Amino acid sequence: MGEPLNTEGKPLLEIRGLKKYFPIKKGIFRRDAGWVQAVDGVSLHVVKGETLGLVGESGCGKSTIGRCILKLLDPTDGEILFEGKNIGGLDSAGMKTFRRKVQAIFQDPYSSLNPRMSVGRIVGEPLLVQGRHSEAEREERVEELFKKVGLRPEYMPRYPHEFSGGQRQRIGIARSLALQPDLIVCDEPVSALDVSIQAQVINLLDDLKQEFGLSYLFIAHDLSVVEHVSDRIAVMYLGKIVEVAKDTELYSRPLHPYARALLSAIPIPRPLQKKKRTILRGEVPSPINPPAGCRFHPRCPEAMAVCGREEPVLKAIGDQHQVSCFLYP
Amino acid sequence: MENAALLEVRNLRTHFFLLEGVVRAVDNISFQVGEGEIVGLVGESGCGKSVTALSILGLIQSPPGQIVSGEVLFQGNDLRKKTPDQMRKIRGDRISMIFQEPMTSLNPVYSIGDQIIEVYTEHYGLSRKEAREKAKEMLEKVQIPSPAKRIYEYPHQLSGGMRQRAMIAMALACKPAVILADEPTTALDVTIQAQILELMVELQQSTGTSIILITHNLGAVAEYARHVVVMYAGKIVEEAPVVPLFDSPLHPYTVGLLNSIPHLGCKSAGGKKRLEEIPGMVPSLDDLPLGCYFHPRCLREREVCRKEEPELLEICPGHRVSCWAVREGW
Repeated sequence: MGEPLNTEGKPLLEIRGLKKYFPIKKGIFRRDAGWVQAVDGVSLHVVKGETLGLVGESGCGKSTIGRCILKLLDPTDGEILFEGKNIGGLDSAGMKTFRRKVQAIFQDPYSSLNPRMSVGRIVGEPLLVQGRHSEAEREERVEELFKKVGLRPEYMPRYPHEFSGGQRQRIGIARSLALQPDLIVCDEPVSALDVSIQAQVINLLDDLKQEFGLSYLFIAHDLSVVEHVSDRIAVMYLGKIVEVAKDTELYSRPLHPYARALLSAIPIPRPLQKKKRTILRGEVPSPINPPAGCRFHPRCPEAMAVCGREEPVLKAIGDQHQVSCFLYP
Repeated sequence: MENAALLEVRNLRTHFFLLEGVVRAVDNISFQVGEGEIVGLVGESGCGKSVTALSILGLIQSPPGQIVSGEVLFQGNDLRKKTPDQMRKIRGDRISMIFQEPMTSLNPVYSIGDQIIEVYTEHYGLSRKEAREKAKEMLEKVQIPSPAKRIYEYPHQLSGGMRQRAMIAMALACKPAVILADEPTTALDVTIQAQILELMVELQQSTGTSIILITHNLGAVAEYARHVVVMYAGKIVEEAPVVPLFDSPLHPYTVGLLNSIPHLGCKSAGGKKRLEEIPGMVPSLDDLPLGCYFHPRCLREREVCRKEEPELLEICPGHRVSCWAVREGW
C-alpha cells in the first residue's frame, strides 16, 4: 500500500484495499456464475479541505467507490475509515453522525430529487431526519441555504419539475450542505449540465469549499473539469488506481500510459495548437474477466512481456505522485 | 470558403406549433457548407442545432413541426421542393446522418449487417449477396474487427464505440456528399471519442465528403472543423473560420462560452483561475425575450439590445456576427 503521502495531519477519509465484486446470477436458481470486479483493491485518502478528483471511463468503478463511501453499497473486502473510524463497524449513534458528516451530490438532477416534494422540503429533509431543529429553525436554515446556492427563497414551495437542470443541481447542493458536512461525494455533478451552466456550478462548489472548509471527492470523466477543481487526481482503469498525482503534476508529467492517452485524447479548444495524440486501440475490457497482469496491457502502446504476467503495484514516485506501471521500477 | 457551396441553408425557419404556443426552434438561419469541408455547428441544448439537421433532411415531424420558410439548396436544387420519394433517394445516398445515440438509432431487431445491406439494396439495387460483400468491406473500413462475424451481430451485442462505427459505416455506405453528424461522440468515453473522431476525419479526407459536425464540445470543433457556426436560441449569433472564432471571438455569447470551459493544462500554466460564468440560463424557446435573445445574460447590453434584434453582419471576410455592441463598437 505504500507509505502515507500526506504530510498535513491525518486524512479525513481513508480507503484501504477496497474491493467490491458484484455477483452475476444465472439460471432459475440464481446461482453465482461469476463476479464483476468493479473495484479491486483501491487505496486512497482525502485530507481535510482537499478535493480529490477521481477520473476514469465508464465502468471503471469510480462511482462504485463513491457508493461504498456513502454506505450505499457494502464493500466485499477492505476498509473505509472516516476520521479514523471504520465505517463498517459503526453503531447507530455513530451512523447518525457519519450520515451527517458525509453527504452526496449526484449526477442526474432529474432523478435525485423527489418529484412529489417541494424543493423547500427536499432541502429541509436532512434537518428533519437528524431531528435537531424546530420547524421554525428548519425554515430559516433552508432559506439561508437557498441564498447560499444562489436560488431565491421564494422558490421554496415549488416542485422540482419547475426548475432547469442547473437550478436542480443547486437544490441538490443545498440539500447536501444542510447538515454542515465535512465531506461531500460529488458523483459527476456537472456532466448532465450545459456548458455555460457547468461553470456556474463549478464556481459555486469552489466558493462553498472555501467558505465551509469542505472536502470533496470529485468523481467525473471529464479531465479538464477534474483538473480545474481538484488538488489531487486519481486515475482509475478497470477497478484499479493506475496513477495518483497533484493536479498540475498529472497534467505536466503524466506517467502511466493510460493517463497519458487519456490526457492526449481530450480535444482542446485552441485550433492552432495541434497536439500529438495517442489513440488507444480497442476498448475497455469487461470487468467480469479482466486481463491477467496489468489490466491495461492489451491496449497499452508500451506493453512489455512482464505486463501480461505480473500485476504492477501502486508505487510512490516523487512528491505525492504514485503510479502503478512496470515502466517505473 | 474557397469552394462553391455544396449545401446552402437560406433563411430557414422551423417552428413547432404546440398547444402552449409556437416554438421557434430554428429562426431564420443561413449558412453554407463547401465541398469537402467540415463545418462545426455549436450551441447548447435547445439552441436548434439538431432541428437544423433534421430540417435539412426533411425529417421534421409534422405536425407539430413545420418548415415555415426558407430554402435548403443541395448542389443548387431546393430540397424542400422534392417529393417524399425523391427525398428518400437523396437521404442516405447523397446526404446521410450519424446520430448521437447509436443504440436508439439502430434497429434492434435487425443485425447490423442487414441494416447496411439495406442501404445498398435500396439505393444501388444490388443483390443481397453483393450487398453483403460491400457491407463487409464497409465494416472493415470503419475498423470493426472480424467484420465477417460482426455482420451477423445485433446492435445490443456491440459496445457503444462499435455501434457508432457501424452507424458511420451505414452513413458512408453510399459515399454521400454530405454527412450530418449530430453529437456523434457525446455518448462515448473519452478515449473512444478520440478514436471515432479520428476515424471520421480520416474517412472524410479519403472520400472528400463534407461534414456538418453538430456538437457542444468546443474542443472537437476547434480541432476538426474549418468553419464554425454558433447558435443561440434558434439563431446564428456568430459564424467564422475556426481560427478567428477561437482566437478573436466577437459575440459576447461565444466569448462567454469559451471562457466558461476549463482548459486542460491552464492551471499548470497560470495558477488556478475562476471560471467565467454566463449568468442566468438559456431562455425557453416559447418565451423569448424581445430584442437580442442573449441580452438578459449579456454584460454588454444596452437600451437598443432590449428592443431591436441585431442583424447578422459580416464584420470581416467570412466572419459574421449579430450583436449591437460589436456593430456599434461599445
